[in-house]
Amino acid sequence: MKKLWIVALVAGIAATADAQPSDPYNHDAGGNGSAQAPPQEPQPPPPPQPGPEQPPPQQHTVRVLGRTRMYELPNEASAVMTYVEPNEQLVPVRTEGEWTYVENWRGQAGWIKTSRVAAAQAPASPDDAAAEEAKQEPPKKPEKPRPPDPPVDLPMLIAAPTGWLLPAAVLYSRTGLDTGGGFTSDNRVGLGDVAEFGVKTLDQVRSCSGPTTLSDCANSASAIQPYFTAIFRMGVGEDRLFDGQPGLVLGFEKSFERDDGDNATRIAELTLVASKKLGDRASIHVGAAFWDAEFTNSTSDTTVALHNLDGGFANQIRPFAGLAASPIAKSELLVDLSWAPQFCYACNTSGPTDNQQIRLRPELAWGVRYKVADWMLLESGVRVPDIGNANLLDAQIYGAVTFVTWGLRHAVDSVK
Amino acid sequence: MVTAPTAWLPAAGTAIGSASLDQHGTSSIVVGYGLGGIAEVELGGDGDVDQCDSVACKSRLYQARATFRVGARQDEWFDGQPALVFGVQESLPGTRRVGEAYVVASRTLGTGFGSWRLHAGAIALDATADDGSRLGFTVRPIGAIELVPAQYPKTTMMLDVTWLPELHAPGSMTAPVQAAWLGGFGVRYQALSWGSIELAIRASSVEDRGVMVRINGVLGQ
Repeated sequence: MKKLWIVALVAGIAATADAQPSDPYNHDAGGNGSAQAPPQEPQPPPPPQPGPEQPPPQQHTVRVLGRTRMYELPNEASAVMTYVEPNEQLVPVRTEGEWTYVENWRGQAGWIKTSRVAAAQAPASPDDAAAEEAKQEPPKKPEKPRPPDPPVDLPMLIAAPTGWLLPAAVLYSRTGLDTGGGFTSDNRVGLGDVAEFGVKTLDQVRSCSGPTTLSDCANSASAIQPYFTAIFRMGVGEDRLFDGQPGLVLGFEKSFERDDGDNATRIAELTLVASKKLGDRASIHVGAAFWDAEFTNSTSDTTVALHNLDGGFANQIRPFAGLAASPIAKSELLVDLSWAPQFCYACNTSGPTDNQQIRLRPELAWGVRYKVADWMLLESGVRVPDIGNANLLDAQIYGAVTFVTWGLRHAVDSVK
Repeated sequence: MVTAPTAWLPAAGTAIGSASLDQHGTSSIVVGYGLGGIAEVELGGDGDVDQCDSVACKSRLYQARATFRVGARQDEWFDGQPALVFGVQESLPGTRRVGEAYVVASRTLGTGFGSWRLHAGAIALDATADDGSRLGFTVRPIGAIELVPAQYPKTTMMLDVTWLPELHAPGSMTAPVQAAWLGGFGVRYQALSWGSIELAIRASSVEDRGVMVRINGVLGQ
């Protein structure tokens, strides 16, 4: 009997122990003494792991440019909650001006500067706190568009020069061909808006070897080609000195020595020309040329020069002129009168003045210049090499193309 | 026209071309370009200049030539003003040279029957032969008339006359180089807006040139 009582007592104690919490001081909410799982102690968050990247989140994330402070409030005076590393992925919640509210993978949420956010960039190497405060470079201002280039007044009509100069560093090139086989090329560059320099090849200088009279020579003369010259011009643009002032240019053109059979020839020309625009559609050009020319015969070793021939100074001075009119936009009618030397190697130097070995012959030219583009012009027309002879068969149909470019000027300006 | 020049100029940037062939196998080809709406430059070749011996003119002188034309369009300066063109045509260098300069005026007149186009002008010729003989500066009149019937707006009937140099062999009774007239009568059909075809009969002072077919094309405005 006594053993049974002890066994029941032990069983009763065991059953009661299972029903009671192990902690008699149950501190759950309300303290009702009900049986509950004891509260877990808060585990400290694991430290951030710099280097290895977190698994890519499913939502939109951003990074920061460098080590960045996360503030409690959108105010730099508020408490700093933590530092965000460049390799941390942040979830942007909202942006308010200079501040963006973000959350990190640790569940921390706070405010960072919007300028420190680099959503599409790889995070930069970690910066120290001083670099974090460094201001971002302001974005570069867009370059102002270059104004359109002004129209260029060309330095030549057809064969006569004008009183206009090329602008500084503007390149000009005119190449032509005519039905007589004449080839011309004129290449120039503007210098400082007050001068220009160029090299040319001419087809206007003519010669004849057989005839002994100038009239016979005029019918049979042929162009000496190629005939290279260099040209330098300087002057003043229109209206620079006073209102109504025409463009004035003083030019000098000198040839390289050119052998023509047994004769070595040279020419030089000094020109003074004035050009004036008449409204928007016309212009007039008037000038005077002072010429000299000579040839040296290698067989007889004699030299004949224009300035030594009968007639003297009057042989060398000649006027020239030209007109340009633009009846239709981009099209220009040109007419000019110019002069060119003609060598008659077999003509006599003594006797009547008609039989002179070097004479200046007038050339009349007319044509049309069409502006295909701002940098390209097409030209065609008729040149009569010796209008004094009035020989229809001597007339030549010519074609020319002119290029004008501001490229060098733009390149120089961009380097400045 | 069939043989004579007109005062019509192509628009700026327009290219034109024509090619012809006659029953004797003489051909020609010309390409031109409108320059700024006030001028035209052409390059081409043809066998229009006759070469004659003491018996007959049976061969043609093929020549490459260039032409520059400048002028004003109809009514450009004042109402009623005809189109005016001053043209110069030169052969390319060779032993024989042919040069022409002409002034021609053209005017379109409308009537109930159709549209008439009248062309009148003058041409100055000069030419040299192989032996150095020269025609000299010679002026002759040129003219042409066109009719576009109202019932057939794409068809043009043409009649014209012009002058060309004629080269004679040494020893013949005539001058070595002289000017001869060349006339033509034909019909042009504007098959396409950019192309037409012509059928014409040509005759000169020395021979019947026969039937000629020509096609024309325009590229551009």
